[in-house]
Amino acid sequence: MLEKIKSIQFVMIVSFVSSLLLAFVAMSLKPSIDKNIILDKKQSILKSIDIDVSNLSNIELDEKYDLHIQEMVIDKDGNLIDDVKLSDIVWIENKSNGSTNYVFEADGNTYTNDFFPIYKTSKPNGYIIPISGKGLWSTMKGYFAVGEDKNTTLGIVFYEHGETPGLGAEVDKVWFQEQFKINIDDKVDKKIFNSENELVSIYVNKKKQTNKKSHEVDGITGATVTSDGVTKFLKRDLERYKNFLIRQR
Amino acid sequence: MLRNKIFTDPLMDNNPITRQVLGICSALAVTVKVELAVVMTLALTFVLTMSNVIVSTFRKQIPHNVRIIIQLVIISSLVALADLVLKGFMYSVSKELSVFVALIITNCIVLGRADTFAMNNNVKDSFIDGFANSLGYGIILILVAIFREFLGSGAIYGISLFPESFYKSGYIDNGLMLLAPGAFIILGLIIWLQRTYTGFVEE
Repeated sequence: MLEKIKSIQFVMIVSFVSSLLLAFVAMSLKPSIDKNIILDKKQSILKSIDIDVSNLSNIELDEKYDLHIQEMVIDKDGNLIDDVKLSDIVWIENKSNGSTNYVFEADGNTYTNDFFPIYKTSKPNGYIIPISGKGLWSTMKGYFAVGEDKNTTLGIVFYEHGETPGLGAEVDKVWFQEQFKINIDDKVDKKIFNSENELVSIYVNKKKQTNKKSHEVDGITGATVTSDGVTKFLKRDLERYKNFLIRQR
Repeated sequence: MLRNKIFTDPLMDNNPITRQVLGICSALAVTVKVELAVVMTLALTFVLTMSNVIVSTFRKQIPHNVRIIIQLVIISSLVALADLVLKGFMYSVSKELSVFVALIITNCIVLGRADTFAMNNNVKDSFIDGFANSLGYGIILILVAIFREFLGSGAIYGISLFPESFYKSGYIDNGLMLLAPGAFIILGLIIWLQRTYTGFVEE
């Protein structure tokens, strides 16, 4: 009996000490981790329009971001809102479907999904839209870029996901993301609107050759749920920006 | 056991990867680039050496019936610590390593050394043992990574070794090397070479 109590005591002491230590380290590293996350997002935004960021220092990255990217806010009807700043919008993940709720508070009112962040780029001309949604295991977060005509896709990147390495995690790979770029050999440029100006988004198709189809890209073998997830949340998130993109065309 | 032998054994005759065939999962996963292999080695060296030292320090106090739990708590705390430090200071590398740093917890080398060696030996020997085992692991990891990155991406430590004209005249990187089978083949060749050299035969 005494031995059992001793064992329990020992386990409790060890757990207490290690949790204290971890909590302390996590707290003291939080500022630099948060800073890294913001830098990583900026890096992803630049990558989505095919700007090489691999050898940049943090300061150079900030400069490049400020040079190329203009942060903007639109409302759900597609109007540009000048008096709301992008940094005032809080991004909250909807845990059930992985979409992002954009919450903005002003004068005691809380607006949820009335205002959306968007990034304008000057070179190449276009807009970058944040996307997020569920894959198989995790919420995938990324950016999607459309070109000057507000229709042709310029690129897609994911900066956060927890999909299976080798299967779903292929969304992070060049071969998958290249399909969304323009002027790639043997591939037609992908478009999100059809000729009737309806939003059809991009279908991640697992079965057929998609080179010549403007609304489809090749899916990932062995990762049906991830592929379908991308199809689904890309369309859902683009819906929010539809009015804006149509109006700007 | 002689101190010298504690140090040299894990490097060659009793190497955790090539001889004991432990820690294979990470050896396959993080050896696409040399940089990843180096960072992974550093993380494992920290975890393994520290866990050996801590377990050995308290080896007389740790109650026998819950020793595995205690060892795991110590190991997982150290891994969480390593993960946080990587996120704080080497964010992009930590993103590429993704789950594999956290998976050090389940790396058999760490728990194996803690339970079989550190529980029965003094702190100094345990330190040497932990360090030598990480080194033995790291050497193989980096060796595999050098071959894979060279053959698979035509680079070593991110530095391209082939001029552009090489690719234009028809040279293509071996994509198989970037996939898990590539690591299996390289690792198999290394084990074969080593066993030819040491004359070891599995019974």
